Parts: sequence; structure tokens; C-alpha cells
Amino acid sequence: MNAERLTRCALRQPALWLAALLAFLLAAAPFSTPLFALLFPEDPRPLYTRASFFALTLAHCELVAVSSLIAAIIGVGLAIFVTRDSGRDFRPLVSAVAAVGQTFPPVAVLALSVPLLGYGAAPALAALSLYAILPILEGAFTGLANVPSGVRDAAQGVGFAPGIMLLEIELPLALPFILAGLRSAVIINIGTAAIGSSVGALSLGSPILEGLSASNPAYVLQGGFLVALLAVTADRGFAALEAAVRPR
Amino acid sequence: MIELDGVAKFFGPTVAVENVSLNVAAGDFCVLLGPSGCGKSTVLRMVNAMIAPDRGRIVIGGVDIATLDPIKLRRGVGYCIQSVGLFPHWTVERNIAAVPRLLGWSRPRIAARMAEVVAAMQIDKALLPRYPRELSGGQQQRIGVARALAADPDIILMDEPFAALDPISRAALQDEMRRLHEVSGKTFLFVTHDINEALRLATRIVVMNKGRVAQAGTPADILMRPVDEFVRGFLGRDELPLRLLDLVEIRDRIAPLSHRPSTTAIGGNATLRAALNMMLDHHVSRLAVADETGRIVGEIGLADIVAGGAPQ
Repeated sequence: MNAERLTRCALRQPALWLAALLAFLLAAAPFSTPLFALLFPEDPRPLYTRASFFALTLAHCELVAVSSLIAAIIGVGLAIFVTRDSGRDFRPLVSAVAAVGQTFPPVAVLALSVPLLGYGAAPALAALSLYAILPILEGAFTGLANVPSGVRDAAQGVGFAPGIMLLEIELPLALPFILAGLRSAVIINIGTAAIGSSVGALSLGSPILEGLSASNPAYVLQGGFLVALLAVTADRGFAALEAAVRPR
Repeated sequence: MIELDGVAKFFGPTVAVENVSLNVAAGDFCVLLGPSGCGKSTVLRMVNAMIAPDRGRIVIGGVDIATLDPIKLRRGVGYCIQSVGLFPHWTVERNIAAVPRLLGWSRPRIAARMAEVVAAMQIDKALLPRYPRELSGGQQQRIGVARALAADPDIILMDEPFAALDPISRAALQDEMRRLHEVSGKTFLFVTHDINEALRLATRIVVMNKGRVAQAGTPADILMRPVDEFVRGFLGRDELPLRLLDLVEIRDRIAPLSHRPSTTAIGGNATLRAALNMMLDHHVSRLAVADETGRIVGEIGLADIVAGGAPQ
């Protein structure tokens, strides 16, 4: 009975359908050469084969997940710090630094981090993490600052210690805002991660970049379509998550 | 039970509280009364160690609270503010159980205490799994009071708890507080700017003005002998004699039954104000007075009300 309801509920989630579509396309990709040959008749090799699309997608997701996690730890941590009594004065500074980080073009961050971190996934992770901090920080800050003062007052008044208050009252109440910040960060990063391939990180950007440099629009289409599908899937996934934590 | 000795608090250049000394005895219902900004909330928050006094001492149960861990102190007293103070992401049940959980009580102990508190505050059990936003203002505040009582503290601090409520819910909760005070014998320190609320609840009123105690005493003391123009003005100058009617019960003015008794009856434990109201309502100048069982034991006339005299 309960399992049945759960299934019915799950079937109504677009995120699941999109994820299923993605999985199907990745499984079908190795057999899609005839399709792309039909679409691009002039192209002698119409399907990107340097790495499997499954491996590319996995590497792409890994880049996004690791960088978003790093950014979440830093962003939420900073938001907690500037909403404590001891850190309140740092709020303008932290905001300004995060906003400036956001204004650097991603390619510039990549170019600057290569001499420090070398080629590969490391500079891509650094750039993506830097990019994701601002939306997460802003979301977490808004959430923490919006905890009603009456709730804070009551929690303090009945004897919540500051740490328990943060964990049991403030962070749960800020969670919808933190998730919203994480959602924009992840979506931005799914798009930006493609550029990581320019410094040698494996990602869905690899076929796009190769397609651009070799004038092979089929590769660009293949990489671009999967990036877009990934972004839409993640967006719907977050929408479902936000609905689940929204207060009743 | 609660002693303040020369307590002062400054916020920058502004004086919030200046040289306040108070002694709240165990079992008192002490109301801090005054206009907004008079320092009454600051006093309450200092008693709960949420603000440290700049001068003076606060002693609870013989112990200077400056020597106590503030968090332990707060868990040991009940604290209740306006209804916004409920935790919106917790169910009513979890809200009420907040302090016992902080204190690390066992599940069965919490469950047993919950049942007591829910019964004492007459909370509908169907509300327990609901969230605060689904409740009316009056219900929310009832939960707020229940949360303050949950760990069975000897002292309960309340900061304008009923200020945002409609008059009917407010009156109901005030009655609840009176009953609770009578049956529990707990010590209450209650902040309000509402003179009627103060008169309804207090065994002792402390009128505050500009951070100082303007007058402290029983409600009758203060109504009959206001020390200065401020207190007189705050009590509602022209209505002072009418307010006194709130403090006297009919049984204190009861007269023997006359040969032609009134057909309209009122309970002996109602106030003179209620009697006057009923007379005006029924266009009569005499009422029969009934005891708790409904037996007519005497009567009261308009003259008995007007005759005046100090309430006991």
C-alpha cells in the first residue's frame, strides 16, 4: 500500500523520467553512428569515440559534484560565520570578495590556475568551486538572516546552546534557501564544467571543444545536448528536493 | 525567590534600567507594568541571563545568577514570549517537549510529562502532530505557555505573551494563567503594558517608568494610592474608581436578603464590576447573590457597590 503510493509519487517526478532518458541515451550512444551519419552525411566520423559518453558524463558529474561540495562547505561556513556575533562585521567584506570572485571570467580563472595546479581536473575544480561559492553563500546567508528574531529569542531563552541552536533551529529553517543557492551553483557548474576540458579535464566539454577545433558540428551537438539534458535533470531534481523540505 | 539588588543596564549612552531593586516572593504573580521602552523587558531578560546587568546583583533561590551557567539557568526556568517564538519546523508536540529534550530526559519521562502539560493547558490532542502555522494565534500561544511549563520549572518568565491576541483568546489565556498560578504555586514574572491584564493576573504589580521602578505593591495598593502623576496617568486617571471594582468580590459587600428579593442572581465570587454590569444590563438596582451551589445567600444593591471602602 505504502510502497504503491511511493511508486506513484515517484512516477510523477520529471527528474526521474529525465534521468531515465539520460541513461537510455548513454546506453544507446555507441550504436548511434548510423543516426549521426544520416544527419551529417559529409562527416567521415560522425560520432565522438575518443572516450565513451558514459565515461564523459561520469567525469563531468564528478567535477560538478566535487566542486559544488567544496563550494557548499566554504559558502555555508562563511554564511554561518558572518551571522554569528563575532563575525557580523565581516559580512560586507565576505560578500564583496565572493562577488569579485564571480566577476572573473571562468576561462581566466582556468588560465591563472594552470601554472599553479597543472593540467587536468585540479584547475577545473578550483575554478568551478570558486564560481559556486557566491550563490551558495548568498542563499545560506539569506536563510540564516531570515530566521525570525522571535524564534531565535525563544530558542536562546529556553536554553538552547549556540551550537545546538544552529544545528536544530537555524540550519533547518535556512535549508530551503541553502538548497536554492546550491541549485543555481550546480546548474551554473554543469554548464561551466565543459570549459574544464580546455585545460585537460575530462568532461562533456571534450567533444564540444574537439568539434569546434576540428569543425565537426556533430561532436558539438553530442556534447552540448548531453550537457543541457544533465542541467535540466539536475534542476528538476533540486525542484523535487526543495518541495520535499518545504515546510508544510 | 527572585531578588534584584540595585540592578542597572546601559545600552551605549542610553539607560535601559537604572537602580532597580525588587523582591519577588515564591508563589507571587509579579507583573512588571509600564509603557514600551520603560525597561521592563530588559529586567526580564536579565533575570533569564540573556542580558548581563552592568551593575547590581540578581539572586534566584539564594544563588547569584552571575555564578551560574546561563544555559543551565535558562533550562531551569520557563520562558514564554509572543506566539512568534514557536519553532515553525517542529510539530506542536516537539515544540512543547523542547526543554525536556535539551535536559536529556528519557522518552517515557517526556511522554508522561507531555500528557500532564497537555491536560493542564487543555490542549486538544489532535493538534500535537500539527505545525504551528496551522494553528490560530490563541492556540499557538497556549502551546507557547505549555512549552514554558514542560520541564516543570519553579519560575516562569513571560514577556508580553498575549499582546498580539484577540480579546477573547487573551481573556481565555489570562483565566488559564490565573488558574495555573493558583493550582501550581509557581512564581511568575510577567511583563505587560496592559493595565487590565496586570490587574487580572497580578498578586504584585511593579510599575516601571524610564528604567526605574515608579511604584511596587499589591494591585489594591497601587490603585488606591498611586505615588505620582505618572502612575496615576498610567492607571487611567479618571477610571481609577471603576478599576477598583475589579478587585473586590461581591461576597465582601453582601447584604442580608430583603423581603422582596431580586429575580436576577449573580455568583458571590464575581467582582463588583460584574455586578454593576449585570445591573446596567437588566435595568435593576439589586441582585440576588448565589453561592457555589447556586443557593441564594443574600443580595447586593447599587448602594453597597458605591459605598466603597478598601478591598482586603
